[in-house]
Amino acid sequence: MVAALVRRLGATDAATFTNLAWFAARRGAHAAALDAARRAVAMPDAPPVAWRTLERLAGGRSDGLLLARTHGPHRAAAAGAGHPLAAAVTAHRQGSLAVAEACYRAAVADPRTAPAAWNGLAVLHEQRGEQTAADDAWQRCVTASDLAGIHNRALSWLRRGDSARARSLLAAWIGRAAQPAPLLHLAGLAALQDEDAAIAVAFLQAAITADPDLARAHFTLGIASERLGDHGRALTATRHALLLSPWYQPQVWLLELERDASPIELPVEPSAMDSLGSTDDVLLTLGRSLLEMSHLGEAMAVFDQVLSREPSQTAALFHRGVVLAKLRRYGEALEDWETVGRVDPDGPLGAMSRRHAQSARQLASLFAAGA
Amino acid sequence: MHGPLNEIGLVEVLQLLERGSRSGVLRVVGPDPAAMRTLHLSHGRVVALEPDAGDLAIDAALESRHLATTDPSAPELGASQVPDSIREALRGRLAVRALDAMLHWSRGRFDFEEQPVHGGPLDLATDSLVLQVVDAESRRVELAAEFDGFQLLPSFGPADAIASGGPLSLSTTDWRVLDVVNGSRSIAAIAAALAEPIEDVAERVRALVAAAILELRAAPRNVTLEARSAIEAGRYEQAVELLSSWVSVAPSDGEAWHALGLAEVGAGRFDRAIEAWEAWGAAAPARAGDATALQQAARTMLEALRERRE
Repeated sequence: MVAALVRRLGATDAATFTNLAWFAARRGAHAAALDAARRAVAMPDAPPVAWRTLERLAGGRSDGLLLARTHGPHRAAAAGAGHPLAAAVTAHRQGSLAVAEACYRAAVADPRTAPAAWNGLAVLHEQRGEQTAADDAWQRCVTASDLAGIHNRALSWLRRGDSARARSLLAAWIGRAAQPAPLLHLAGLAALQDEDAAIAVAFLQAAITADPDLARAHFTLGIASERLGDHGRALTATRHALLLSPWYQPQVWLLELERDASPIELPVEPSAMDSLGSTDDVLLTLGRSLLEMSHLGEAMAVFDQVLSREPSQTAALFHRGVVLAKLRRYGEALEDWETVGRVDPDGPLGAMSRRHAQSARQLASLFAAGA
Repeated sequence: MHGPLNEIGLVEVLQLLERGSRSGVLRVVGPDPAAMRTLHLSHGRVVALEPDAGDLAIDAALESRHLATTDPSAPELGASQVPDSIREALRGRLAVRALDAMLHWSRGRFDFEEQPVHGGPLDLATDSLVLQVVDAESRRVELAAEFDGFQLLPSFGPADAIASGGPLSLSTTDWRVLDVVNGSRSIAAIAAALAEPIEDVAERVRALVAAAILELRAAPRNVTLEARSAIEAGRYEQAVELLSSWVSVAPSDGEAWHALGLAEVGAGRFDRAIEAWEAWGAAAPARAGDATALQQAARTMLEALRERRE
């Protein structure tokens, strides 16, 4: 019956997968529960409960699991349903850029929403590679002192490789912003890109002071601390980040429904030319640190996150195999290592995986004999 | 202002206080003298109800609904972290449910002490409260007719039917209902297990049946229950007939033997009652003490009748 429900629910949302894991675990279907929890945390909107569910299930526990609320409070859309800006932001988030553009253009006619609409238009043009149009729209935002627009303007320069202009703009506005945390985080990210980890840590800690719930600031602080060799602070920051959000989104565009209201975050699509590096590389570094410090549940969740996007990522597969072996789940470890051997037979990870797989087979057979 | 609830019901008390736009604390004791409820009223409206809709009750309700944990290692998932909008919606439901029960009390008393009350988490007008209670009652009556007095037994449908249905969106209540469905629990038993209003559970079951996740079947005939109803109604011979046939095919059903003894006593046949209770003691050794005591009582009655005849 659990299997039938899994088939019925198909590709659903993170909350439903979390609740399916809860239900399956209470019915004793541990493998199905674990699978559902992994699928839940692999989604960008995974609730913190999903993370806890995965950690407990990965540790072999099925008690104390919680349900994820399926109808939580929604952020107030101050522009109101039916307003062109609300329609624009909705379409933008869904990737319907043509619809979003038409709605943003309607919204710029209203002086109350014009700065937010210009900001949305600028992001949209930047996403399309229309840099001149984006620059023009952002200029209007900066003139109107629109903080989300200023944040996005700085991010666009950072992504275009001009971190000096980004840092200069941020320095001019951080002291004036009512909610400076996103700007401080971006300043930290820019410092990190300039190989200035110590300065990055200072900005990121200031961002966290301004907004303790800013998950990406905690994540980035973990990375910056790791670069400084401060593993303890790195781990603390990463663990705190994971409690806030299972998904690390270092770069986000900020879209607004109303001036000074909490902005809506639109994750930046990473590109091959992204000078800030791959999120997966960062996650792999964090996963390895967690593994070395024997935080197995968190390490596995981090590797799962990488593999959910790139199922053949050999480093993630290899290290997840190590985590699984440490948890004495030799059969699953063997599967990961055998995949690495097939995908990268001549690489160093392929050779190590073959050796590990041999040991795992022996251990798995020992445990099977014992059982 | 104070008085007994058998003379003036809580509805009337609340209506009087609302009309007078009174503020103060109303203490109500119902059938259980140890369980006092305290209502805070501001300008005649109920703004707080302790303990049923207090913060501790909200925390406990969130935990029992698997929406929060007391695990100290996960403070971010504690009840206090649940958004206020969800906590307050739950508070409102718990308050209406508690008041629904209190409005039916005919035993106990109330005491109202006038004092300044500056708002509270609730804002319930008596008329709106009564409307909600009446609405819930109407739903219960309609649903009871639809679901055979809530005695129908939900069970999971065939796997193929579950897997092949249309798009599905399940609430947390739906997951909790599915969690306790085992094919032998009635809708009433599920509602009791979840501590949710029976009408809400019945409506969720109806939706899950429509979604081809659950199916319903009638509860097996409960002869003992039917016989007990007959005994309550004074139809002792009918009860004896029902139970005699039943124990002939289910001689190990201790409760049926127990009820048969009661029916025989009702019909004035103490000798048969003693036989039935002997069989009860044999079928349910854990109740042998009770069975022996009833046999002794029946023998005493039998002897008293004989003496009177002699």
